[in-house]
Amino acid sequence: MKIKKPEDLRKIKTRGMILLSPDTARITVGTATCGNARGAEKTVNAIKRELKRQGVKADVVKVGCNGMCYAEPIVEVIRSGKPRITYGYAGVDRAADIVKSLSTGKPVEDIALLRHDEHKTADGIESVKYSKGRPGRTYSGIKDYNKCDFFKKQKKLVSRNAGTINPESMDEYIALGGYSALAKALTSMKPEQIINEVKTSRLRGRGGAGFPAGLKWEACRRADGEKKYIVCNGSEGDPEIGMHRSFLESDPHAVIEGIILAGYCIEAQEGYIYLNDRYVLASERVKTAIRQAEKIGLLGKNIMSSGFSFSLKVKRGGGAYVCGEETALLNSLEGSIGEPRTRPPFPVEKGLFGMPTVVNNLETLANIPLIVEHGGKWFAETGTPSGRGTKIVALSGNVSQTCWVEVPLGTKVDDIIKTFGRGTANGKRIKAFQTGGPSGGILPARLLKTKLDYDSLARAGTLLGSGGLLVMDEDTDIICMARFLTEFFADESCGKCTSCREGVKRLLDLIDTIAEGCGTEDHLNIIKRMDKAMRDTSFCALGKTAAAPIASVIKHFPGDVKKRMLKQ
Amino acid sequence: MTDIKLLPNAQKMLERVERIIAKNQGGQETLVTILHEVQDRFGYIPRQALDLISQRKNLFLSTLYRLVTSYRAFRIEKPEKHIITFCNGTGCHVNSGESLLKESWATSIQNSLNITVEKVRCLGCCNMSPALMIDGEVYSGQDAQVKIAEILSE
Ligand SMILES: Cc1cc2nc3c(=O)[nH]c(=O)nc-3n(C[C@H](O)[C@H](O)[C@H](O)COP(=O)(O)O)c2cc1C
Repeated sequence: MKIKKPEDLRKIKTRGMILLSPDTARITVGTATCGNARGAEKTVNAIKRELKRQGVKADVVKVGCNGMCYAEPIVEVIRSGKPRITYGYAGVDRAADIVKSLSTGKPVEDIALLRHDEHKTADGIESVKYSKGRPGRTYSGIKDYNKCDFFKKQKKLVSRNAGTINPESMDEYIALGGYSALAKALTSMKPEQIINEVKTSRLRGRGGAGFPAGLKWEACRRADGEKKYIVCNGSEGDPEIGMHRSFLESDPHAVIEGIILAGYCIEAQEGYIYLNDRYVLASERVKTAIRQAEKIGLLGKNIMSSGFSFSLKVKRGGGAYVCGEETALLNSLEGSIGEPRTRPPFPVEKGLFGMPTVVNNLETLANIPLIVEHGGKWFAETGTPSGRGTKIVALSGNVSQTCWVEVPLGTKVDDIIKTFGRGTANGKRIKAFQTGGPSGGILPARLLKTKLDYDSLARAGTLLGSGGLLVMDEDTDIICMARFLTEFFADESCGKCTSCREGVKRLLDLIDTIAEGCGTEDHLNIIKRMDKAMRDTSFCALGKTAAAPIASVIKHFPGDVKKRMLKQ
Repeated sequence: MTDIKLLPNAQKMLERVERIIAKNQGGQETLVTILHEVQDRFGYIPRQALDLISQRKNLFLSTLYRLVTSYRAFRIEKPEKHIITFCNGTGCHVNSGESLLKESWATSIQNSLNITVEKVRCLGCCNMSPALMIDGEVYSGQDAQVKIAEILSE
């Protein structure tokens, strides 16, 4: 059946709702990359075996990640009329207990993390009710989802479905309000109107540069070209973050819906999703989702009789960090070497195959359905003046809980580390942190009160980037850290422009000299001059920011640097 | 080169590559996809496959070679029986990922003719940090030690 009117979604919605809270039971296992690494697939098989052995009936469903990567494998149990129970650390050996809880009605207390009486999306529109009446004494020992800081302090707008729905089921996505924004747009909104809403929302790019999405679309819409393209940047080359991977593995339709809407606004006929070469599972789930959307006519010719036709393809990248840069990405899509292009002309004028092209990060695009559904004004209520909406943040390094979360822009870095990461792994002091991947500066603990938004981080000397947050404790050798990041740039420089190609090598020599204890004041001065020179003359932001880690260490950790200097 | 071992099967391999090329009609924009498909099939991109692709797509072999070697995803040498991939991401680095390389077994695996050792920028499972991947499966801590000992004793 093809969807023609918004009402046509209703039937699918009912079907999806039954899947989400069936009359029998539903057992979900988190099988994103973080879960699989901890053996989630084995847990799935063990649960299936146990169901058979104990003669119990339940749907076993693979879902994505709810952000609690530290507690993987995560298993959830939903029984008709009873609260949804979240279990953590559910290895193969716990499968029997979990299955047994279905027949006894008693939850497995020692691994139960949360109880969930009703699932509500953060926009408050959709909900799935689990418990009928009050949950009773059986569940009193288990923490209520709504009272759990880990979720209470988040605002899960973009990632609302992650970990709840089956990423390979479009019905479940639609059940929780999916594709209703697209249906609304195609049947009752003009492209200009949507672009205006996106402008009102003041949504800025989540991929690094933070350019306002609405303005980019408008420029592309105005540009001349016989064809136009929308490209979703899923390159995610920063070496510490996997939240966009995890998000795609958890809710691919959310990104696809955003891409179709973007395509409608700029009048593109074709879209590409450019994925990091290692994202095999994400790529499979996205491809499945595309096939499902094609089947009900949300991709293809004359979508919902609106006259708008659009097709979407997934392309696997070649595994180079610089291919995340939008013009290098376009070169890579065209089958050339991933080297950045001269700008201007900007991609919105001359992009893929020389045609006007919008390149957006996948998280930017996943925000679009929310803006279309609720309006730009509603969206702008969250966040701070320099950044509206939320940001998905991946927390890694020396934290006790590795996780990814979605918080309003403007949340303090400190709060994120304390609330979600539960501080450092063994109670040690935090020495430094870094946001925005390798190009961000390494900042000292005294700046932990900095707000996580575009301007506050820029003032502190770093950037929001695509949302990595790395924590380093007091044992970290900060010089060694700067060396590691410099080596990263030396590895990843594409070699096109001289200042980056030669600059990164010289920087690495200099930091080596300092790390070996032979550095002098002169070395530091050369680094400072090189930082400026590389910022002024490099072709793309990779070279421009390559000296940022070292320069920030010299600036913020003078004590550490001095200790390493040559004793004269 | 390792290709010599492959010769008896070369014909079969080339037929395979020919089919992959036929499936991806078009110009240069199809190259990265073709290269991925060849590598997924054979574990690397054999020299004869490069020759064939350059002929079919009307490219200089040198141009194609430059493309292949500019991307990290592609191998042009046949990997050994086992592939051990160390995570060299920032998160694992902070959690002493490099100390894994200093473990007693590290030199043994570097020297083993059975094992190809690689480093990547992030395995995407910071919850296991410091992590490494052995033949497609992620390991850390004690499990990694056990698995590596098993491979070394083969
Ligand atoms: C070296 C380098 C790497 C980048 N890597 C990424 C990336 O992995 N993902 C991404 O979305 N943007 C990346 N960017 C930013 C893109 O060039 C571009 O600004 C972004 O995709 C635009 O989308 P947005 O406006 O939605 O943020 C990178 C930029 C540079 C200079």
